[in-house]
Amino acid sequence: MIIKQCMKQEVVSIQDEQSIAQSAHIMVEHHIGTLPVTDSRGILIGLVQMRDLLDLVMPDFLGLVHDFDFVHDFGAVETRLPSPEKLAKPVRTIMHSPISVDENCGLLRAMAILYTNHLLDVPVIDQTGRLVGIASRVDIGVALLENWEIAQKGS
Amino acid sequence: MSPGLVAGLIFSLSLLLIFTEKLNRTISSFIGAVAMIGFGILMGFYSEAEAIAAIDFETLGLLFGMMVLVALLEPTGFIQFLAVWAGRISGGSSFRLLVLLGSITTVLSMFLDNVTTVVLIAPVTVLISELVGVSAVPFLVAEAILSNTGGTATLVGDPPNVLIASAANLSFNDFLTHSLPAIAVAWVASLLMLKYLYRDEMAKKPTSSQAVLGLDPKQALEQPQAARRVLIVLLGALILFLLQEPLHVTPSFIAFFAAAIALVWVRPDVNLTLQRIEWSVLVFFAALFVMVGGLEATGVLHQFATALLKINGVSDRLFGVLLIWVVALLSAVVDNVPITIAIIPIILDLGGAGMNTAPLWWALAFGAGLGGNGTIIGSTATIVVVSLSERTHTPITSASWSRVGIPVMLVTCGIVSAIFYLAYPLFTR
Repeated sequence: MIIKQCMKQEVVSIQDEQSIAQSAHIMVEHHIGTLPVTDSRGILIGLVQMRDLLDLVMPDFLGLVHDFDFVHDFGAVETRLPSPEKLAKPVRTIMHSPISVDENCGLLRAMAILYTNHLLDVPVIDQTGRLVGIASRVDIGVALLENWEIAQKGS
Repeated sequence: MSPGLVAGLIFSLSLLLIFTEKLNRTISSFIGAVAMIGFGILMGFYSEAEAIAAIDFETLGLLFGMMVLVALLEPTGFIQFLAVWAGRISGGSSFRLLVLLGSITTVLSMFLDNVTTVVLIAPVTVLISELVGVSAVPFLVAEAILSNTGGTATLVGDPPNVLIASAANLSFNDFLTHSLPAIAVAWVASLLMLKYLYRDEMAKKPTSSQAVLGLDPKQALEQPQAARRVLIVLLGALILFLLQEPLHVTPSFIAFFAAAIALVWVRPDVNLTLQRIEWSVLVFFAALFVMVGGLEATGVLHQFATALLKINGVSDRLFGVLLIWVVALLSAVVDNVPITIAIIPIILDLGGAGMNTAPLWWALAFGAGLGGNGTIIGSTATIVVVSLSERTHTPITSASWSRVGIPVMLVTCGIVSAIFYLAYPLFTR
């Protein structure tokens, strides 16, 4: 099986000029955790993950202490909101360079790319670089597990 | 070119590389040392044997022994425990937190390496500030400043003091009777200045001061048994330092002895412990000794000392005060270790020419210890705090450092200068 057969074909994406606030809004509206960023021609140029947005409010100390077991109450950080100026900036300022797979990519290869890049979803592109789909860990994982069942029935 | 000029050029170029941060300071001093020996052999002013003899193993030994103790204390979580405990009992009051964290940093810096102390306390400081909802900057700046100040008080507190003690044969108790009282006054002044300069930040009410009640210091202490053992050994070492004169042993032997006992008692993974030793610092020191040894061999430092002796019209008292300020200003822009290593032979020469140099050692210690607070690159503790703050939402900038660092440096140097000038007879023995 190839990725084209298990991906979602309707992809919610955002354009690089849109704001960080809009990216958050789209994630909430569609209940999704990965937002591919495209240019006006639909070419994939970046990725915004939920983590990139949440990093704006996550405490700084997480990167400084290796263990925070002794902190039972996150206090002021718990209700932290990003500043309006930050939210108004274009998503381009926080997006990552795009990681994607070709629509003919094998499932295990796609899964390995998700693992090594700590992604939840991987965008799928055609040969022209245009975004044509997106596949989550569950999409790919379920397709792989289905193969097991088919193989068992066959034997 | 004369040997003196070549040696002077090599030393100045290394200092310039350290100053401009074009090259890591250990590498800069290392190539300087190699160049000094190379040119020394070529031009006949310095030999390999002389270079090895120039290395002060007393200093390296004391630094190494203390580094082993710190390396054993570091993974126990004891220092984080103290910081978390300070956060909890501060009740979320900014000024109380500043005093508590500042005092803990000072006391630890008096006996342990300043950099390690700050490296371990600063992350917890950022954590506590974020929990209660205040900026971490005043606390981080206070820790760096008070760590530098506290370190100046004792023989083992900072590297320049170790160097001075070894060169001038000063004991641990000499520092307690000469340096500690003056530094204590400067310390109180620093704290009051921090309170004043950060009055706006201190007045701001924390958004959730009750969050500190959710801190559990015990959970921060990862290896209570090892922590207890290392602390007992450190206490024992402190007692031996106090008894150093009647026992007729060197501070470096005491540090080695304590390190040996601690290693046997704690029995850590010795490879991990040795990895925590700051070898780059030891190499930096050894290379500087070799370089300054070459400078000394050419007689250029002696000429400098003779020139200094010819200055008329300046009393010894005023000369000491001038030394404090010259060293302080130099230490603000360049690392204070090479400055100290280069000035030591000059003072020894002045002593050889019949001048009473006892007060000058203290002037050197004060200048080297307090000068570093003046700039954002003046001390390693500051550099550590600043680079850590760069990983947060509120980085310390050169301007925000100078707003506090410069006044604190000027006032503390002023205070010790006044004490030095007024109580001059006490520093002459």
